[in-house]
Amino acid sequence: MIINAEKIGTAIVARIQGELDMANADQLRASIDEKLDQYETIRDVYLICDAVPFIDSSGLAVLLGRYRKLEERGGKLFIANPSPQARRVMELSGLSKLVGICDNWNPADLQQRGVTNG
Amino acid sequence: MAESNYIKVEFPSLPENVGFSRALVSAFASQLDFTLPELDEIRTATSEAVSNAIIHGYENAQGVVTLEADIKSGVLTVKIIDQGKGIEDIAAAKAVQYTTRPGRYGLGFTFMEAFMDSLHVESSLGEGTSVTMTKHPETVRPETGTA
Repeated sequence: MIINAEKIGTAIVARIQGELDMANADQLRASIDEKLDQYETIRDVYLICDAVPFIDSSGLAVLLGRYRKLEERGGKLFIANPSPQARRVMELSGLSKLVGICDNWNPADLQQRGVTNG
Repeated sequence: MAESNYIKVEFPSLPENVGFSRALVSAFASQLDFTLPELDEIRTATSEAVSNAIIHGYENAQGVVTLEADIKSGVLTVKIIDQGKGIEDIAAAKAVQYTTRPGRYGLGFTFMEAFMDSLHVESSLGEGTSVTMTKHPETVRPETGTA
């Protein structure tokens, strides 16, 4: 799994490539938590999932855990461009009611969403 | 298409083999006329069953997972077998969001039940668990030449 996570203002934007399951769930957890621990100003995390064709319950557990961490900070987790399979398991698990799902993700959306450089 | 076909594979209980197993079953299942969403369902159910064998059956220690699949009369059967610690209470394990581990979601059996036509679990404490799932394509296409 390839993860490119960068801090943009008060958000982390992470582009993920690969199928998300128990083989790499810890890798995704660590890469996000590392940035959350490093920057207390971060509120929101955007996971760009164009290149994530598959997520199973091991992957959903990581997403739920990050959602809870961000909720404690008054922030939110966003999943951008989930695959049909990812959307289906998020809906069946109830996770889709907790996280924000962004279709047709455009990097320019960050400014519209009030993510500031700071 | 052949009347019946089967595969049988053994692999060590390594996390890397979860992706391999679902790709293998999906490729085998493609011999039937499953739609892409149905193949996604089969891949998800297989991923959950193999993950359970590795995480719960062997508790992330070394073991062997056996994967069997067959196609008979247009129905796919997938069987995942481990010789791990076994499940004490199968009914409780199948309950939604049941988990014995923090940081897990407890949705494995929920996905298997939702995505497959049938799910059958056999388990003996200290001897292991076998999970058998079946699915047939919802869209049965007309035979060639009859359309």
